[in-house]
Amino acid sequence: MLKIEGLKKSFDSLQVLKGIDLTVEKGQVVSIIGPSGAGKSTLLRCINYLEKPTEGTITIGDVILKSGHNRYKKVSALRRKTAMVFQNYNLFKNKTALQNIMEPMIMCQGMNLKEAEDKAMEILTSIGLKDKRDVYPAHMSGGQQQRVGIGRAMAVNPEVMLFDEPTSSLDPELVNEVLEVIRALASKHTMTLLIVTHEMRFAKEVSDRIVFMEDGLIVQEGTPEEIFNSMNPRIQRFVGSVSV
Amino acid sequence: MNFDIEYFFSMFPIILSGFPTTVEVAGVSLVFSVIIGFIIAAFRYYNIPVLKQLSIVFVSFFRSTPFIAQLFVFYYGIAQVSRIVRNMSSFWATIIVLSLSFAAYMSEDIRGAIMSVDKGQFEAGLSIGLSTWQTIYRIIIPQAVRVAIPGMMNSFANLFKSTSLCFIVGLKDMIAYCKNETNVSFRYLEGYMAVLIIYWIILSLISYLQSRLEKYMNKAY
Repeated sequence: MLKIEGLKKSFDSLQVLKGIDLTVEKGQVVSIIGPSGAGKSTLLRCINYLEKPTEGTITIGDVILKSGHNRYKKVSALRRKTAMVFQNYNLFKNKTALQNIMEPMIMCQGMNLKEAEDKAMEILTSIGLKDKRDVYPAHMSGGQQQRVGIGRAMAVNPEVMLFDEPTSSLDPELVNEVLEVIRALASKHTMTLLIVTHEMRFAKEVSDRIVFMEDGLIVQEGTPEEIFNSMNPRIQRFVGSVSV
Repeated sequence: MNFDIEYFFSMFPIILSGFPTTVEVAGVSLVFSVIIGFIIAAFRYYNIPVLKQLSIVFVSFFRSTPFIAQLFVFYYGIAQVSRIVRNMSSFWATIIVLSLSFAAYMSEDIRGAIMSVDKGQFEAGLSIGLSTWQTIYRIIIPQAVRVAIPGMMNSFANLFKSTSLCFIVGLKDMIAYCKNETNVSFRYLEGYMAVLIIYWIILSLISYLQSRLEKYMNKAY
């Protein structure tokens, strides 16, 4: 279970998150939507501790992280329960597809090379990129890179997987192959998925719940039906402006 | 005066007696300049107060003053006030000045290379659970090295050539052997032509090595 209480984050004088409370059950798929600058990405980055929360508490399973100074051990424990899929993929450029996926297994889970390679091959096969095992990121398409990005996040074996606009940098015709992979993960309901996205149709179809954020706050959360039929005029305008 | 080809060829073994000294000075200075350059680059990259400002002054000073003057100030000037320098061999004195001087260049090559690695690479490392240090040595440094190699190899080529100035403080390098020999024979053209050829061959080898290394490093890109 993921529980966020009173989460605030400021950059100097700019307050980006103004008090977020959110609870997500294990295995749930939650999409976070809202206009640019709402703080969606910052929320995800706080959960992965890439940003240090100014105030509040993040709980994932037995790891409880409060704002303020945290020991590295605790931060590391939180990071091992989470994995991030970045908008720009951020694959390790000096490593092949296979090595990218093996990296968390070898370095963080202490697997031996053989074991890690077998597991990484399983993941590569599941994302349909078995034949790209020895290819470097620079020689893959954006869609392929992002699928490897998801594969690398899977390799962390996290409780919560965070997707930060995973298809926003992709050519339109490559979006679907990435959404397919996320869809497959979502249908298993073994991991909690938190997806920041502008793909409304996808969010509606794949999510158990949708969170609408604006201006550093959660405006409304609910089932896709509730959000897409919201009485809130702001949300109506937002989801109405994107064709579904 | 005609070119004495026989004498020209006879100069090669004489000059090459200084080859080990040249290589030792260049090699040791290379190692020190890379280590110091790395430390300076880190001070500046991590914005460490005071040390950062000192580093900027250090780099500016050594890059904007002639190497030969630096060598003289150290070997003759500081020797007047420091007993340690006064008792120092020219071998170690040149290594010290070469190391400091080229550390300034190396630090700029290294700093530029580290800055060229996308910040997202660092975040990706942290996000999968690597520690800061693990991310630096498994992800950032391998990528930075590729960018740093051309600049650092250029700096090394310049360092290697700069060793030829150090005969002036008594270093027994290739130039020194040539000078001693031609001062007696007066056949400067043959002697120094041989020196040029030897340096040309060595530097060509270094640049060949560089292109091989770059090719190897670029296979991922």
